[in-house]
Amino acid sequence: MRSVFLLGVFIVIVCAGASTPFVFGMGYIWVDLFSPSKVSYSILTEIPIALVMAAGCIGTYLVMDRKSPPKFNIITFLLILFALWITFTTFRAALPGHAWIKWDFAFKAVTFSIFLPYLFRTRVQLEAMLLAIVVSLSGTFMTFGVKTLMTGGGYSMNLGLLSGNSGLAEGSTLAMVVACSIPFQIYLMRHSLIFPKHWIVKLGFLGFQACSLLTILGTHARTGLISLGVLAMVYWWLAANKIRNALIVLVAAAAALSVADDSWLDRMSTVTEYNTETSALGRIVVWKWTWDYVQDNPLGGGFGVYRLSRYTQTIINEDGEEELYEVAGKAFHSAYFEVLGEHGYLGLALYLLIILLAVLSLRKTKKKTRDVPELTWARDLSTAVMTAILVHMAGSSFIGVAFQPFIYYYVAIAISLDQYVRRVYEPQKAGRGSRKSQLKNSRKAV
Amino acid sequence: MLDTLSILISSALLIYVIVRAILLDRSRPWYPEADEIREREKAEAQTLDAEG
Repeated sequence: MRSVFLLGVFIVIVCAGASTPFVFGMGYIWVDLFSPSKVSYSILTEIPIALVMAAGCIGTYLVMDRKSPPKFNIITFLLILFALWITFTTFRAALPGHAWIKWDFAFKAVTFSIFLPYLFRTRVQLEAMLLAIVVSLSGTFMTFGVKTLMTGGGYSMNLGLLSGNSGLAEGSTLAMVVACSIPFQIYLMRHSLIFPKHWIVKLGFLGFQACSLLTILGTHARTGLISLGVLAMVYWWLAANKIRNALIVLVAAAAALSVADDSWLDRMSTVTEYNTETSALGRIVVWKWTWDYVQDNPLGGGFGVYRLSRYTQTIINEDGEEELYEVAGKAFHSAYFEVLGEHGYLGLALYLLIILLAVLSLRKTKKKTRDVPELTWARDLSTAVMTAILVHMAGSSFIGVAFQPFIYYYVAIAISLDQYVRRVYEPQKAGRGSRKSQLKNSRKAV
Repeated sequence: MLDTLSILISSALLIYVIVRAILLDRSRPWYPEADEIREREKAEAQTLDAEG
């Protein structure tokens, strides 16, 4: 039955996308976040759906709809440069076999984000992109959230739609990505045009947020706790009504703690025990190895170079004695060390600059739209995307997700939103200054 | 059963979003705020002129 539903969605996307390019963009996001070929038992497992979506996006855009393209900007330039740089380092990779496998999906994630602002240009299209992200994730967090309520969840338990230990099947990654989607859910609840204003819709979004929080708790991932903590802090800091938001956060935290079981609390308490807790210690050790590696290899070692990691560290064991702890071939467990180790200082500089400029662009958009009632939605969307990026930056400090598509989606939304506000003001630029000064002079006369 | 229900709900929602997005996007101007802002500022200027 699930294969039939998913085939139905695929057919709708292909038919609708044939006349409307942004629908293929939604389809591509759906493939990335929902992984229908892994969730389906048959039919879709035989079709190269990602290729169909990508070809559909590019083909229909070029043939049918090149209206209002985004202005070439510094973030797009840096994304292109980053895509070229990671390709260059792959040619020089220490482990070429592994490197080219990862390059395949990493390159697509970066380059597709360059193309997304060409597809999503209007307010409705932007909202459709956000809904594609949230609805695609909902397939996992709805089932994960309900199962957490029934069983309490657990570390490394595949309670979602996907199995395995990579991508969204991995607990820490899922927890972080779902935490990043909460600001979008709150934004959509307030400003959606696609969903009608109705209490059932609001209830639906609140249900999504509850499932999201349960999913984050149910993964028992410390990254999830950190992501939630940053989400609460940023949400409170950026809110207009700080007291009300502080109360909401406290109530949500109390509700979460009432649902959490002892195993969750035990696991969260190990966050600060990096000296004795081998999982946390292993991260620090591989980070030290990465730092030493790039001293001799400033251009990085290419994708997958963590497989060469060998490092020894003294730890305190359960008996309070010192012993040697050795790691070999441990993954980076940090997006920043991942980029540094694989693509060197320049790679890391480009990665950080792209994210920083996206945040600054969102701040500029927020400032521009602050006192404009017609663009309240744009101001709130800037806040939501900025929050998602900041949560991602915090959460990805502990998981190697630098080349998963999530952060690149948020950067693409930042570019699209900036371009939208630019287009709103552009036709008025010539006359706007004179109208402003007319208003100013009129006020002075009064 | 729960997984299948979740897939059904998210699939149905996605189809709804796609259809509504297409219909809505075609029925609206691309940047309606541009005209709305212009009209509002014009009205404000006229009000101030009238008061002056």
